[in-house]
Amino acid sequence: MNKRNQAKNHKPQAALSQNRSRRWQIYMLMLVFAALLVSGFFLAGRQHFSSMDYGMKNSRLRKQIDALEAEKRRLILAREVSLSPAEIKRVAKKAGLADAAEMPVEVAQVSPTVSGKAIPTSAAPAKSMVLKTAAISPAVSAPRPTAAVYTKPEKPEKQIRKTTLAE
Amino acid sequence: MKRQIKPKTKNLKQVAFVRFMLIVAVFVLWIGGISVRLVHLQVTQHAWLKEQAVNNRQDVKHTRMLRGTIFDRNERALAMSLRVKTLYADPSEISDVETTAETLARVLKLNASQIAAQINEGKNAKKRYVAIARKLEEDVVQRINKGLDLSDKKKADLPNFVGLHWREDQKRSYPYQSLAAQVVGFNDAADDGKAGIEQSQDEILHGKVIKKLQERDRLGRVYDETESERDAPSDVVLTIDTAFQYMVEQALEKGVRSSAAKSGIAIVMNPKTGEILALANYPTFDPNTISESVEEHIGNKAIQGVYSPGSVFKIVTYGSALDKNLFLPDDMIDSGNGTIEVAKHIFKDSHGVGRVSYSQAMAHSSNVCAIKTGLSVGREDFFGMVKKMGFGSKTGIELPAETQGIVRPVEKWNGDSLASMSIGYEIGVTALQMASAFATIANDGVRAQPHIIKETRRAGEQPNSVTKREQTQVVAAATARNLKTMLRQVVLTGTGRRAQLNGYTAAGKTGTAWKFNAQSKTIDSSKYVSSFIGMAPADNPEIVVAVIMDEPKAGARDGGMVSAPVFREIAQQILQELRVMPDAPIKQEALVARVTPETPLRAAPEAKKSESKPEIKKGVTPQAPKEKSKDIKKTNERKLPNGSKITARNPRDDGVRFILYLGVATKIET
Repeated sequence: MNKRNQAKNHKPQAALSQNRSRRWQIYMLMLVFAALLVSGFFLAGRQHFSSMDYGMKNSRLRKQIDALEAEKRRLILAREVSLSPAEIKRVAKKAGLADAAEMPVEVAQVSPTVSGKAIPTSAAPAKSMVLKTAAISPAVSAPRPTAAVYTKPEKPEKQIRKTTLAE
Repeated sequence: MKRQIKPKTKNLKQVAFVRFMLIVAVFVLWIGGISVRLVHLQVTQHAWLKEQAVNNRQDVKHTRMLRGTIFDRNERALAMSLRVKTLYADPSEISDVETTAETLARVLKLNASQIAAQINEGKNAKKRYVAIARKLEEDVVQRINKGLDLSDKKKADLPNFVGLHWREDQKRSYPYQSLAAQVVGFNDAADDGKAGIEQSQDEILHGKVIKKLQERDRLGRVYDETESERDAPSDVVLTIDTAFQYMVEQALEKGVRSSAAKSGIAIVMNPKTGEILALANYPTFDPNTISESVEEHIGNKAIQGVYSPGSVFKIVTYGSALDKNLFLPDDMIDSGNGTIEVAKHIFKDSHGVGRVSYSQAMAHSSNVCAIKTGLSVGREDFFGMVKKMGFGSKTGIELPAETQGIVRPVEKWNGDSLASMSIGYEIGVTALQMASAFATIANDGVRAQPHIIKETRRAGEQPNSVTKREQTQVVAAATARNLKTMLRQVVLTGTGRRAQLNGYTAAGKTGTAWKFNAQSKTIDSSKYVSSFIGMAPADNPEIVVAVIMDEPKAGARDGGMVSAPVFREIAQQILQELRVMPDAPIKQEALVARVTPETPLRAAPEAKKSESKPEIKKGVTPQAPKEKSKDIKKTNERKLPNGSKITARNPRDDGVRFILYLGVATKIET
């Protein structure tokens, strides 16, 4: 083998080893790019599915908000219904209470104008007219309109009788 | 040998090349074919494919936003909409009509054959919407969904039953039922306002249709939702106060019933601002059950009904004369023998008043004095005052179908028209026009436009307040004050004494007018319109109350007897509620009193026989027998769900009822 041949034989070997290392570099680069591509796809897929998931959750929450708003409205309406006079009347009647407006209640009037003399408030101490007039039977049968008179405080019986005087 | 090997190598290379090219050709053909197909699909069938894709993925939903709410001045909801659902069938999706109908009938408790007939009819007509059950609330919807969950097909949307769907709908509710029904109005099935505020404010109350674009996955689950821009409807706040409205309606109902009137109207107005605080009509209706209502009761007679006002119109007559400085309230006028003839028409007073002051003439409602005053004013000036007071034109209140009344121009007047109009005939007015005229006088001659809407508002925006209205000076302040003095006399000594309040001064005018018979075109002297319009407190009025009774039949039928007591009841309560300082002595008269034996609501027959009426002796407090009281205790004990017991205060099953009525009553002048 001459020098020329030796050089010829050496060159391909160096080139081959160079080629081999470059090939590996290419393979590695391809692998990196492939990995990048795959991870990109993977991330994109994950993003897509998570966005769908968020969309679904969002939709569910919107539905929930609508339902809660509807419920709030229903409750407001129920409160208004229960506050309405007709409903209060109905419930009161159910509870056994009677409507004062429907009762034949007569209001006796205690007017100082009939006797012409009004008793000073100090002269009629702590005796409740309410109890006395309410407790006396003639007030029941008195014709309407009735008038009551302030009388002397020392004669409560007479005072009571005069409550039935017709005007 | 070398020559033989060389071609072999060449052949192998050629074969490899040919094979490679073959594969490339196959690939090229394949990709080319696909490309051609893709181009064909995307160019020629683009529209059809896009439609298919959108249909599979997207769902367009049209829903109407909930209609705005109507509130009173204290934020109480008078009309409100709720989200409800309507169950409908799509006949094109239903193959087994009988089974579907039977299932629906079982769940909805309806007639199966009727449902089947409905679906079949829809199928024949190629309909895709057949309503099965309308406007159902959420709890009912859930119950139906459970009952209809029979299909194998897993649907994202309920009900899980082939061919059946829910459609979102809305339902209008009126929680206060008949309260202010003519003011609030009502809606039809399509949620369009048909009366009252619902009709007049329909444009702003109306919920816009919103378009929802929903993206769905293959299971029908929504994963994306796009909503077109919402334009939310507005809420309307009224000047009405539900508490006042209730008081007014109660007093009016009582008044109409006690006088056996055909109908009644009551208006409460703030003269300073023109706000309507209450507007009631009786009989009334419940907008929740509009189909059961009497058509005649639906209209708002306060603004739609025209009537001859009678003597209440004398404020215009005297007002126009005072404005021309023709007299002062204390000047004298002679009514003569109580009759006056104008253009061969004899007008009479109901009772002669002789020579009296103008104030007394007004107080006793002398027709002759009013006619004389009207004649002294003259046609043009009288007509001018009528127009200035707002008669013959709409008040502008935000309610539909308001009438302007009937006011004929001067050219069309007869010889006796001025005389007739001076006492409130030959003219047609509405109750609101009359109330507004009195409010003008109450407000020292300044006319505040009557209105019923306080503000409109939209969520997240500043409310659009409409309380500040134009105010115009209609008559001089001095004229208004003089008129108030005269009206005060009406209540103090005149025909309106029954309108006297306890603790407050009041001023007003009674009116009793014969009704016009449209058939005979004459006055019908057997039918009246009795009214009282007044203000309180007299010097600085906070409220103006108008009460008009149509055709009272029982007892005295004049305005002073029929309408004035209703005014008193209304004004007394509202002034106290408004915390207006009393300007007159308070009569602490009725401290109470009465023990009323009453027939029991649910008395046993034995009890009825033995204790038909409790014997009440003088000086003895009536009491139920002791044994009886034991029974009462027993019967009134009730168990609560938590186990505790309560005793009802008011015995239900006894024979005697004691009512202790504590309160201040006004003395009635008779």
